[in-house]
Amino acid sequence: MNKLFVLALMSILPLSLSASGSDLRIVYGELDFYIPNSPNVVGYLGTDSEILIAKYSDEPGKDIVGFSLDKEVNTGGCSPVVFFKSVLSKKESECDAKAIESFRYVFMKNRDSGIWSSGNKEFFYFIGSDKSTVFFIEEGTDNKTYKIESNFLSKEGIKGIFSSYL
Amino acid sequence: MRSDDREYVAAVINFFWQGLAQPHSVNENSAKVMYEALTEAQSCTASIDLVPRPTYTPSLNYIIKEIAKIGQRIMSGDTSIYNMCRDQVAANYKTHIRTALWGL
Repeated sequence: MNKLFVLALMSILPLSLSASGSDLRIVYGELDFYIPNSPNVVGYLGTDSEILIAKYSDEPGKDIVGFSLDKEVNTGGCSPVVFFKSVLSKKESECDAKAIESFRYVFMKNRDSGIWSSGNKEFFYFIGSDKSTVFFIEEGTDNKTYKIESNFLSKEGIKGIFSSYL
Repeated sequence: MRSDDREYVAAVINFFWQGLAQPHSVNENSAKVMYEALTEAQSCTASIDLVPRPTYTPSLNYIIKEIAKIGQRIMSGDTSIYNMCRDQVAANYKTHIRTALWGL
């Protein structure tokens, strides 16, 4: 009986441990994200962007995952969705050319970029070796734009943040 | 950091994000982040408008002196070299400058 119980437990635990042992669930806004477990610090840093960070190193500025609302990107007179699709496309755009060009310089130079899509959700990713950013526009919220950043996670690690949706 | 340097570094931070920094809240790490952000803004503008790219040696003393010089220029209203890419650079560095100002 005891052996049966142990075997039954072993068949359940690896799954539940890997699910709860490798990721930490973050609820930000009305969205679910998953980040690596055991950050050294989780801090709400405020501002109009509602910045929340998880930090995995004691060294200043290192190993951060950040969640915020973007208030800065100049979308060149377009809605954020149209703007992000324009920067990723080679087609001519109705958005201001300098806004597109400067965005490409800052967020796309030496970065891998594209869209992760699932259902009606689109995540615009810009992945670099030392800085990565993902933008997500929540539907029906007057273009509320979420910005998720990391300066240490790999592309796979960053995609994992959105595992609830992708 | 000297008090006038703090004032100039705060001016540079507030040029990108209005009201984000006070001279007393500035530290060496925030100066480093701003140096990186300014370098990116300058090279971004250069790539679009052919402004000469800066050369730099990233020691902390050099960084603070450079930021102070740029802060003086910004306080006197000379911001043209940074305007073109300011918004996009601000978006790229906001979390990092806020983290630095918190000493994290």
